[in-house]
Amino acid sequence: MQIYVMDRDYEVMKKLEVWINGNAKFEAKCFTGLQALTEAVKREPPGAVILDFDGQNSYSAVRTIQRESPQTQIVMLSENKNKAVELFELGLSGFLMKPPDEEKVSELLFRLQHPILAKLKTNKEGT
Amino acid sequence: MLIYAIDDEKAVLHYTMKALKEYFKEEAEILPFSDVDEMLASFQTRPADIAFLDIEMPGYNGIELAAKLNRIKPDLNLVFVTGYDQYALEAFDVYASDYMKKPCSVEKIEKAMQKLRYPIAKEKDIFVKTFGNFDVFYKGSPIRFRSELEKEMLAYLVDREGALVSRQEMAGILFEDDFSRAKQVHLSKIAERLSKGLAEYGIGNLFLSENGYRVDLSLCDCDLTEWKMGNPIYRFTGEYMEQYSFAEYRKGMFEK
Repeated sequence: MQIYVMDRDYEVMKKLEVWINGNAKFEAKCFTGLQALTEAVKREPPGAVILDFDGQNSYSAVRTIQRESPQTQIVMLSENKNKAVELFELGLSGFLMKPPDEEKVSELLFRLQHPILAKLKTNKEGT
Repeated sequence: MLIYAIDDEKAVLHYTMKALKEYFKEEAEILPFSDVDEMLASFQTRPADIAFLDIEMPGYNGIELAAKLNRIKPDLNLVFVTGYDQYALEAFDVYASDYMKKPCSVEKIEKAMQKLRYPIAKEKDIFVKTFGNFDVFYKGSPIRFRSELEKEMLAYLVDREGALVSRQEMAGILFEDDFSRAKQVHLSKIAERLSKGLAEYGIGNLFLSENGYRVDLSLCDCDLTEWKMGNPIYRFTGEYMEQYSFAEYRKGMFEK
């Protein structure tokens, strides 16, 4: 699965790229701005987008992606836990707290590919 | 469709139920709960398709409840109805479809239905169970067969997964390779009774007898079919059509 990543923090973006590419089932592509990201989604829709949230521009980008590629899963990146409410309002597929850690990214990747299997796996681990 | 709603505050629960009934009208059975243990007990025997959960309840957290419900039914659609923002991340971790601020409303329910993680497919009236003992259910109740041979005939056709089975092959299964004239007549009568029996349930087209016998599995939900398609809800636990010796071969294939 191809995943597009956009974060204003270059270090965060590069970490995500390394972790995603470390999993043979995924390929990460990084973008430095929302416009480049949405243009890429229109040209070649990915399986998922991981997107830094910075206000109205992000909402607009999310709406564009949902319109252009309804099957693309969208994951929010934020330092603010309370932003997770917007995850549901916007119909997003996931949330990553910043700074991200490798284990959470790995769980997210599994969930993106296997929604029900991931639920069974999590339940089995008792969480 | 079956929906559960839980809130420890009766007034809030009443309001939620009112909104749910207004939205779903006759399309769903909606059960209210104010007690978590009661809800869990009910869910064990009648798991819901969608659950609307409060989060802060005395002695119990709605997120913990959601995790327990998920263990029983992994494709449950969860919608949290709460006055607080701070549980949204945890709600996501239990695979909630939506996180709704109180009070619930028809408009909020409509938005939630558009975001269900596990869209609810219309269930077929016929469910064929092959894991464990073989049985056939029509609208949730087991079908009564007039004889064990009729049931075994149907079971074999399900095992053949809809392929055409010759009369001789079927006689081999039911009568241990006795294809005498008497047994051929007997076989015809079994097929006729099976067809009539299913027709009484309104599902006579499940069993087809022309140039042989077969079942139309497109009319049913079947645990074997779902398992082969990779549906993790249906798991092979080592038992397949346990009443029938012909099933031993297939069971061996599953176990490989």
